[in-house]
Amino acid sequence: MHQDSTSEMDWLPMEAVLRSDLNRTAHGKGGGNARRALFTAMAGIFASSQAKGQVQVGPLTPVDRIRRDNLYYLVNRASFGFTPALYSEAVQRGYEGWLDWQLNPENISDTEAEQALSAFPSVSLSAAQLYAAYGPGGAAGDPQDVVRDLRGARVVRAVRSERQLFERVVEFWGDHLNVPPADGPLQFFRTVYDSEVIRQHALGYFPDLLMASAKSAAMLIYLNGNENVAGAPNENYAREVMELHTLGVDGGYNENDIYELARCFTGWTLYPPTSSQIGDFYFNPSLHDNGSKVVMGQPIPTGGGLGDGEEMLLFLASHPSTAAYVTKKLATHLLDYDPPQALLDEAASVFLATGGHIKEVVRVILSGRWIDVVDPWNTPKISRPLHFVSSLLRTPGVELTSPIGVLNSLFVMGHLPFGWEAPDGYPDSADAWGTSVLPRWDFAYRVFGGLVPGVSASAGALYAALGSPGLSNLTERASGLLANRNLKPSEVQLVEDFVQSGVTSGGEELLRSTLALIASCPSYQYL
Amino acid sequence: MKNIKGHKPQGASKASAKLSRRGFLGTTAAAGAVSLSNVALGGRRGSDRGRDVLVNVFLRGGLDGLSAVVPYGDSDLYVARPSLAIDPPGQVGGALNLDGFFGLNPACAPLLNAYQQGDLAIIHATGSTDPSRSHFSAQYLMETGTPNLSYLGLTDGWIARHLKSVAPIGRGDLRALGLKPVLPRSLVGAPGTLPVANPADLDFPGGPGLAAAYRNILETSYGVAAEPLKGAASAGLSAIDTLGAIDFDNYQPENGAAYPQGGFGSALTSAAAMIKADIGLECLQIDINGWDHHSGQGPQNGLLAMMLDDFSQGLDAFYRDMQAELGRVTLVVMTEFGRRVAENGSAGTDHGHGGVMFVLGGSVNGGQVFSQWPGLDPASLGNGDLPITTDYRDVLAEILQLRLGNASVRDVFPQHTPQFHGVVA
Repeated sequence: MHQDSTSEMDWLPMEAVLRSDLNRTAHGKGGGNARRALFTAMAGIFASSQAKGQVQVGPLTPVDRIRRDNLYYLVNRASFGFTPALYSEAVQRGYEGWLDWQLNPENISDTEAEQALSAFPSVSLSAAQLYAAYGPGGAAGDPQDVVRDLRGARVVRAVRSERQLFERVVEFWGDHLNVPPADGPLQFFRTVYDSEVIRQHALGYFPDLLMASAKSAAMLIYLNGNENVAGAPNENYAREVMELHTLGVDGGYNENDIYELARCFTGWTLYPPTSSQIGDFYFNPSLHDNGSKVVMGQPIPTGGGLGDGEEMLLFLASHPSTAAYVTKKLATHLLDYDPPQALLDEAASVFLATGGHIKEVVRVILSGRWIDVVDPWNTPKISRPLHFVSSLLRTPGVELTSPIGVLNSLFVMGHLPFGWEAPDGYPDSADAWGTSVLPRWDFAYRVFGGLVPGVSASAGALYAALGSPGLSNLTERASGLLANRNLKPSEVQLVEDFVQSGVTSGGEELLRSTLALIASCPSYQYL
Repeated sequence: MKNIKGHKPQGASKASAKLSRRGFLGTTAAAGAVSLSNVALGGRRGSDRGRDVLVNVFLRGGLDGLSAVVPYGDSDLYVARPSLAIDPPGQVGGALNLDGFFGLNPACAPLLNAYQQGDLAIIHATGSTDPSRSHFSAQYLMETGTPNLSYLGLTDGWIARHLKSVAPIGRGDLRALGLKPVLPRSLVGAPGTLPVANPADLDFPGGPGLAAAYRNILETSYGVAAEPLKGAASAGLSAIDTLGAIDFDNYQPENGAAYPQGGFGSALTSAAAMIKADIGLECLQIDINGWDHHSGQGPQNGLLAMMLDDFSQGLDAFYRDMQAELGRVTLVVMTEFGRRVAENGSAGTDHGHGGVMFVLGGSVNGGQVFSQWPGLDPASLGNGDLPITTDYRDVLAEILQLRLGNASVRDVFPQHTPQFHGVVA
């Protein structure tokens, strides 16, 4: 059903003509929609000709493009990188079956990742335990060790976890509700935020996630909620919760709504480090502004206390602007820079109908029904550095033993986990990530050269992972191992010429270089 | 409205100093036509009289202009900011007088050098005409040079549009750099441009034996790739060649300039080395994050003072180091907005509107604060914010037209007819 259709698709003469039309259209205003409309119209023609196997119109001209591989599309987007094993799992379970499997991470055994996480003992600790072990006089280390653990665990989970889709969604919420572990108590509370807010609710219900975030020590400190008091409101959180977390900047609120919402949150604070309930949410009625308020036309009567802010969060979480904004951002993260409107409409309506059930929204977004309209083979999305790096580290034959060297590379690439300082989280655009390729080439070269500290990649292990290839099939095996052969024919040819040229000293150098070159090709930079 | 525009300290002998410097530059540019780099440029620089290199410094988060350049002459400042305002000059911790009305935050003391030499100008009550108090909208508007969010489809940065509308100074393969890992919006869409976190650390992968083969494969495969990968590869390969020839590690600042430790200082050091190497770079951008001080702002002795100190030391070191090149460098400092005039309840300030810009360079009409001061009395404010009386695009357009040879600045800033204020000559 999802079989590989490389052979006929690579030799479609009309498709080359069509593509040049599409490219022209794409430069005009509204190119994305026009392109899709044209593609949809033309798709029927190709579907019928393919069905009959009739593609012999005019002279055959090779079309230099990535093949159509639906399961690769799914597996690579719903993970931190294709592996042959993950792909096999998808072949066995089928497209939607694999998706459903990944959408229920609690049913996926993850012992290998859990064992690897034992190297980062602080990530599973509570705030009180962190203060005791890493605070002043703590025996386990200092606060920077906690941040180092958190970053290392991020990489290890991306590389090792079997719950790959869950980790991708965790990555999304970590950016969407960003809190950097900059300094002071945030170094502790960011870890708790990760375990008790983001990971707890990543595939759960959006209102729960938003509420947990709003009441977390990390967010209360980062956006100054704990200093927002009656008579002198601090607007920081009220602004960002509407602009970034829920409605979006065009979501229908104004400056006065920000001020009024800030009043709703006055008195929201946390227990201090001296308390046994350190970092827990605490509502201080004496600091709350109990006057009446109006937020986005919603009257809030006097005396509402804690309910003022809680009810407004639920209002925001269920607002149609929120459904549209958050689901579009999630679809962009998982799929494509410009997801089709029909998909977005359905994702938003599922968001509203299910009370913001994130699992069901993700199921809609990744559904195989959209593949032809998303058309990822013609409008590819550039992977962010964490995805690129993890993909390489997930390659059989490569073994991550310590994340230190990898974190350094991610820093150079501008994508150090938890390294974004502003509340909007790391960007997700071609402008941000497609404009710098040197660090990617460098990392590919070093990882397959066995030159990244903390990463082993012995020639023997790589050779075995490639199935003991010879000179004649090294390129094909390498492109299969890294990308299920989802490279452009011209790229494969360039690498093949290199392999056959004898420019290397042979053997080990040839093996390592071939892998590095494939990982450096343009096609490998895409999701 | 108090118009103090054009206030200038007495006795500034700027004009003569500038003339001699430009005369010197003109000579060297002509003589340089026989140098190796100018042979490669086809002698273009000789005919072009050397357009300035632009260094754009963006302070992200919203610098509090009222704390950096203090309008101590406006008594309403001390009403709105009972705990945060910097005291007038003459008091302990008081502002450093600039012109009898404005004074620098004491942490900005290193800026006095360039200011008094007439090479640093300050523009106050400036910013975007769009009222957004969102960091992200305001940065986006400012960096795309657009007037409001109806231009959201226009994703090119203003520096990118500038570069597209002028001929390259050099070969054109490497025209601008963002000195950070991720390309800033101002440079998005620019030809021959890439982000480089550390220009001293660019190596081509593959080692000496395989580099040529690697390069062939990457040049060929990226040569037919879609943008932005295609341009990124091309600019990246040029950067390896061009920047690789500069000895950053042994770079010695001139005139005793001492760049501060840390990200800003090292970015400025790299910028200085690259400008002096004369490799055809036209624009550089440096970002400093972290100016969003809603709480515990610390303009006197705290966090903001520390950041202003680092910033000012950096600019002064660059100014000293670049003395011989000052006639072909303009550095501009901008931020997405200023902060609310009244302090909040947590010893900080919330997002506001009007802010401050700095312009440094040999052709700057410095030693003055350009401002039509709106006044800080509540009736003069806009929604509690300092109104904007100088559009930031006016300042940028003037620099582009007069110092960077751009004859079509209206294409760079859509729907804006710039007014020049005499910030640069």
